[in-house]
Amino acid sequence: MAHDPRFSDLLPAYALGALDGEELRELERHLRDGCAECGADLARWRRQVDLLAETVAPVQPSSATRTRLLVEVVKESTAVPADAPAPASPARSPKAVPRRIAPWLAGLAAAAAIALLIRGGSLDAQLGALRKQAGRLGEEVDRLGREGRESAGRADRVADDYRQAVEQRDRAVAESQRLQESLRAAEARLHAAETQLYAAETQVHAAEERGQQTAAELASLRRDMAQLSAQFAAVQARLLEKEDELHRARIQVASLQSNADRRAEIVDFLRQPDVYSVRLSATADGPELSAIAYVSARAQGAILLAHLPPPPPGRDYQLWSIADGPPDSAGVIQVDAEGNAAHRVDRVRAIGSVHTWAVSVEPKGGVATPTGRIVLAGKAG
Amino acid sequence: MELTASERDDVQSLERVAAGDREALARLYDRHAPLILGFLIRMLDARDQAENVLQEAFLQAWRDAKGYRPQLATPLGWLLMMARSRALSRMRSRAANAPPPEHGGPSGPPREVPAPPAAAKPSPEERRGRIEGGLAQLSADQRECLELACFGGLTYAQIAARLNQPLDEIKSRIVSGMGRLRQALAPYV
Repeated sequence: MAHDPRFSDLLPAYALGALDGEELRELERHLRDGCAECGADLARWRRQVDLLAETVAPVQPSSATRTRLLVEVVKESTAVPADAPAPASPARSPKAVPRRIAPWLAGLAAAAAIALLIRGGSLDAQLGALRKQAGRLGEEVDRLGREGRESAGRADRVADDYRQAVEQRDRAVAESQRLQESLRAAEARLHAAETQLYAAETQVHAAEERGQQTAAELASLRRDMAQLSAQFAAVQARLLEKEDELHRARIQVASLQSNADRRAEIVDFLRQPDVYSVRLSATADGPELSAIAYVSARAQGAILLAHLPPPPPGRDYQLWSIADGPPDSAGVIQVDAEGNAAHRVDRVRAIGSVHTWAVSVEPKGGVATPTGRIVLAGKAG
Repeated sequence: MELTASERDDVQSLERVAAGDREALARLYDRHAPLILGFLIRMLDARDQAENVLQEAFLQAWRDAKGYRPQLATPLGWLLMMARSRALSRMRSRAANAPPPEHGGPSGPPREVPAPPAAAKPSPEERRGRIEGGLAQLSADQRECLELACFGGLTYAQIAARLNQPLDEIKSRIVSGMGRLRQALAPYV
């Protein structure tokens, strides 16, 4: 076929696999028709593409891919069963290997063949290896049988253990339920106790409140009592005061009464028809004093009214009546707190003849005859 | 097309695979699976899906090894192509059920060179570095288009729609970008 230059430009793209459509079909037809120039050119273009492809980083395939490939290859080449003529020496026909290869053995054969393919070796060696593999496999089967029986025994023991474990579990479950019930009962008791405790606390609280109230009342009562005690004391004090007053008043009354009686007495004496007065005056060496005596022969006595200072300590004023003879004592004169004296004399001796009356300061209690200073004297007359 | 020594070794392995040599397939897998997986992860953005597609791609290689022609592509390129087309159909079925992934072709993620795997020999590292250097000579627009096509699996029309550019503009970017790349990488090819 003659070369057509228009296909030359298509060759690079064809080598790349980038051509399609009508151009692709025409070029392929042209190449099939056997254009030598295009064929050579294409080879060179393909080389370019190969070099382009070689820039890729190589990646080690997994060994599984290699094995699978070789298995497939062996399968494709050993697809025929064992009655195909293969062994080199027919006399040594293997008894151990059956005429018709079982599928699993065929697979085994493939695997063995691959192993040998990897290691290399003749077909005899391959078959020998296969026989050895079969023997090993038989031993393997026996071993597996023994292990299977042992496993069955172990399985029985495991089943027993399992049953025991189930029983234990059931017992544990029952126990757990009992414990749960006990727990619930205990919780109920706890709850009841808490309720009681709460009620008791409430009561305690109320009692405390009442106690506090009572204490407050008690304190209040104590305060009241203290007040009352104070009032009572005050009242008592006043009472005592009043009693004192009363006592003083009684004394006063008695004194006034006495005075009144005295006055009455004096008035009665002064009403005597024969009463006459004698004025006494201070003597030369006496203080300025004066007194007056009322005398009544009929009454046989006299009353002396005087205002005198208190006598010196241990002394008394004494009254003397002088008739004929030495002075006669007419008694000690009592002077009151104000210095007033109202002294009555009964039974004056020879009263009708008394011509002088005198007062002297004598030892306390008076004497029989005057010894002291005469402070007042007066003549009747 | 000239092949490096390791590429010739790969061609021999692929011929043995065609004859049913499982170990030869295993050799090819061990040598190239990491790169292809990285590429698939870049396209699909999902590790587990990428590993599935990796497995499917190698299984397809096992089946179709008889159809490999050394003149048309290197063994790695051939494996990449199968991986890519399976990834594309996955992406299409995914897009049918769900909105397309944000970076169907990662123009976003940085192109840093990761730590080399323990099995890597020094020269692939250097090689990658040199290729990166070559790519650096492209303009950003060109690089973007190439990445969207290569890793994103987008067609012209899809790229134009994605970048909101006229179709002719995209075509010209791809052609010029690939041309520039070819020039830059000529010493390493």
